[in-house]
Amino acid sequence: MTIATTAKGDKKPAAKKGMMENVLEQFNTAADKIDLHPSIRKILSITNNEIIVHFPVKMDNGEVEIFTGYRVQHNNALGPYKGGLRYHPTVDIDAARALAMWMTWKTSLAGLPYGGGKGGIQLDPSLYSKNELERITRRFTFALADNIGPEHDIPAPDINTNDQTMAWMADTYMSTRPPAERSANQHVVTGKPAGSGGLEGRDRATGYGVYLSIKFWAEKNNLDLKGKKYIVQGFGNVGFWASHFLEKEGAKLVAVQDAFGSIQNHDGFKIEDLFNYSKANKGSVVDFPGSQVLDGKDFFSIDCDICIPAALGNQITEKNAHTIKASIIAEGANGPTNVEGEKILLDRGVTIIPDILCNSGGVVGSYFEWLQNRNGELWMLDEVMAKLDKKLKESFNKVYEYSESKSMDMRTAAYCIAIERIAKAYIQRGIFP
Amino acid sequence: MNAPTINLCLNCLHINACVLTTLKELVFSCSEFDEIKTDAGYDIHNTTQSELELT
Repeated sequence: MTIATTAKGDKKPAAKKGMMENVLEQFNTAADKIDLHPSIRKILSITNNEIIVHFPVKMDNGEVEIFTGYRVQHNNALGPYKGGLRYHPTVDIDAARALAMWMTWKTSLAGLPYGGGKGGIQLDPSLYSKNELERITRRFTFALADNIGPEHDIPAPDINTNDQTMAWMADTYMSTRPPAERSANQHVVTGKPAGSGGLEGRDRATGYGVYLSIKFWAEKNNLDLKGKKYIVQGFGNVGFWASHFLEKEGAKLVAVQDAFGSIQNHDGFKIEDLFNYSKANKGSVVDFPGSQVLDGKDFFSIDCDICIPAALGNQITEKNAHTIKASIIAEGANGPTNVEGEKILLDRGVTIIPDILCNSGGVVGSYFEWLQNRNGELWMLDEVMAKLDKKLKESFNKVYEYSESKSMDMRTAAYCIAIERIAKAYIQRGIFP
Repeated sequence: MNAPTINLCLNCLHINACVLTTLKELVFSCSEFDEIKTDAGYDIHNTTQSELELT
């Protein structure tokens, strides 16, 4: 289909490079280390399927708009494709490719029976009413048809999509099945609202995973987290929950940075108070009582033991890596440390818990939701947390031990394990015919 | 494969005041992302649980 998009709010995306190169570079570095078979390297360097759909939706004013939606399925050697759907004007097939590939490594490393996928719709959701967004989501689900499915490709929320979006998708997909099969298809998406098949504790899964990664690392190094000072960039869902659990261990949050500014307190912030303050102040932590203003450029050089970049990519670079005082970086965000920054840190003996391991609690939570729906169960919060603990400990230990035994950094080790798992599946099964 | 062109900051409420990055064209994921609100638009980030369950 080649119908041009005429949706409201079309914007020309700015030219950008870096992300796909980074993903491929990380893949190739690990592939070289494990001497990956050239045929498997070829397979993993390219996506399996790329679906582009153009679909019409009736707007509130009676006019019809045509939207463009994408779904990229990178690899399914280990199981159904898994990954988010985002609604944004700059969503395109190239972005979806890089992010789908990333999901393949993440799910493989987490030891989940999933492959990697990603997609979305090219639109600016702020320009549409709730009813319009519902019709857009439902029509997109219908357009994807059997390209998604609970045992084939399982979308999840991402940028500008949420549990409501997933509830609409699940309902639409289930409605297209024969009546007797409808309930058995609830796990076509994850990230649904609690009460509609969603998982208790899904909100804290990623932040809890960040906290656990730090805890497991401390245990391996015979360190007590009590009294340890940490800094967090980004006080969103991940930053807050990671801080919440670290506080329970007696660690002290001494500096926070969000989109509005940076603050510090040598005695440590009370997490619940800071969270409530931020909620009451349009998401800003600035001017929190008892805090001192901190110059943004000094944030990463604050005296601390643990650094948690939990906001966005490219934050720790060759420009600031040498000023970092922390002995461990726990990557709650995706891609917060660039290649040059990482090299400086590793040379200085700083440990980096890589994003694909550190923030994998979210996708593990999604897996639990899928399992819960598939088995017709409802799990309690404490059960979910215990299962997360077990699964994430297994992943962490594998990466840590691999990195120790092969004398390599944890990121390279994580990629090696992820790729080796997929390679093993190809070797065992061979290539049809 | 070509480089992706995704740029979250284009539609972020904080684009002009954000202290987190000057490399706005490289942002593909961000915890601080808040969609710019319009009069017509539905605020997907502020949907209440009860609203979710009733619809």
